[in-house]
Amino acid sequence: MLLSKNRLVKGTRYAEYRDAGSAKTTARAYNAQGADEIFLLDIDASKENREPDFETIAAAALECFVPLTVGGGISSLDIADRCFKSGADKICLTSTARSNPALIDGIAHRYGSQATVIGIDVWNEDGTYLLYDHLTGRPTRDLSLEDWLDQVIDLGAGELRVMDVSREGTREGLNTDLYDKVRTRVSVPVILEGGAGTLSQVAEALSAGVDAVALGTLLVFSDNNIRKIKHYMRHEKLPVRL
Amino acid sequence: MSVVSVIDYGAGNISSVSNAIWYAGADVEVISTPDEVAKADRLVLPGVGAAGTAMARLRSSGLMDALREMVFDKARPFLGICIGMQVLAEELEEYGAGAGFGWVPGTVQNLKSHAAERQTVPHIGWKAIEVNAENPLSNMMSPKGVYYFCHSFGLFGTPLAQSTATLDTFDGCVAAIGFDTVVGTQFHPEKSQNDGIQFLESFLAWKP
Repeated sequence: MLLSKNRLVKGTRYAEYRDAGSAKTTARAYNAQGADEIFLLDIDASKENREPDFETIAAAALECFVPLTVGGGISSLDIADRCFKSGADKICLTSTARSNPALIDGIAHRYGSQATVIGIDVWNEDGTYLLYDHLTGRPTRDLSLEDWLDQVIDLGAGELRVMDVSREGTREGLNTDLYDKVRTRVSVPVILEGGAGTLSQVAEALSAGVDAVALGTLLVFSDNNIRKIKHYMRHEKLPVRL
Repeated sequence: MSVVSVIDYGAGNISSVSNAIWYAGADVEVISTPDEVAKADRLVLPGVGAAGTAMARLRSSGLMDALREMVFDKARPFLGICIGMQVLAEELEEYGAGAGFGWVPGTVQNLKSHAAERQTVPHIGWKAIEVNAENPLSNMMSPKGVYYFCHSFGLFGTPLAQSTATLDTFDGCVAAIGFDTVVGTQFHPEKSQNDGIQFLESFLAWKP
């Protein structure tokens, strides 16, 4: 769930956003449909250099009897604190981890690695995976994906959310090659995101050994829902919780 | 139904736990002092993060001693969740911390030393559990239940008399405990959707 100015939105490659409903009612629906985890990301907070929308986090949290991971604009321990108090179970740092890597260590020490998720946004440039910089909206060559992975793990990251930004919202399918690359380098759980447009693409990714996938477009702009998606996976003999 | 007292010692997801207990059908009060513990009818000790930090706070605030009295002298039902269960152990390793409450035999150890090849740590996700039917308190869980786990450390070496469920991975890490008026879960019932709410309903209905 991507949050922008009190509303959920969804776009393509982190641009061209369209309205996608209210956070509270969507969280209620996803919870009722059997989501395994809900991820709420305030996409403007870091760009606008402001705090996340705590009120919306708290409203969504009351609807979630599944884990709620919150990201966007978490630039200090104090803000992380307020996210947890608002009902977040885990914190996800993406650009704020890049600008202040010590924050990873700070959150992991206070709340534990299991609550410290790092968002790894990657741009696929002709087969080379580059880190994507949200503040400029472009890939960067300042730091390699491999070095960044080693750094975040060393600082205490307990889980990674790996997003192929070049596929986000495109329905081209999930990038299992990127997943394998990350998964062989780290020993923490990895959630793959970006590009899931059909049920068979999700099934293909899970069959290829991906432990967890995050879905956006597939839920927002299609007639699919989580229950339907999970029944499809069960029918394909893939391990899902119904 | 009685009021459930959820203990806030600065290391728990108090709002998630309170919300789920309320949803399971009880009134909730959030308490933080030994005096408040002494008046409670039913106690819940949540916890996320580092057991060492949690332990230090529980000890220095006097909450540990107050809880011991309520549970062992006054037989109040008690539920510890995640770190709130781990602190009950005899020994803790996390962040070099020393002994826990010592209510339950066993040691809290890093899951890394119990992980199979390709098994990720932290252990995060929805898992089925192996219910120990010999322990009557295991009936609070469903053998078909799937529960949400999110932890880097686990309880090991707890005898069947006090353990109600284990994982089939990580060398049989303890998933839940139960003895006297104490139950505890490594998983998060407040985040385990219907199966978690059912567990909380059983805890609320429990008259040990």
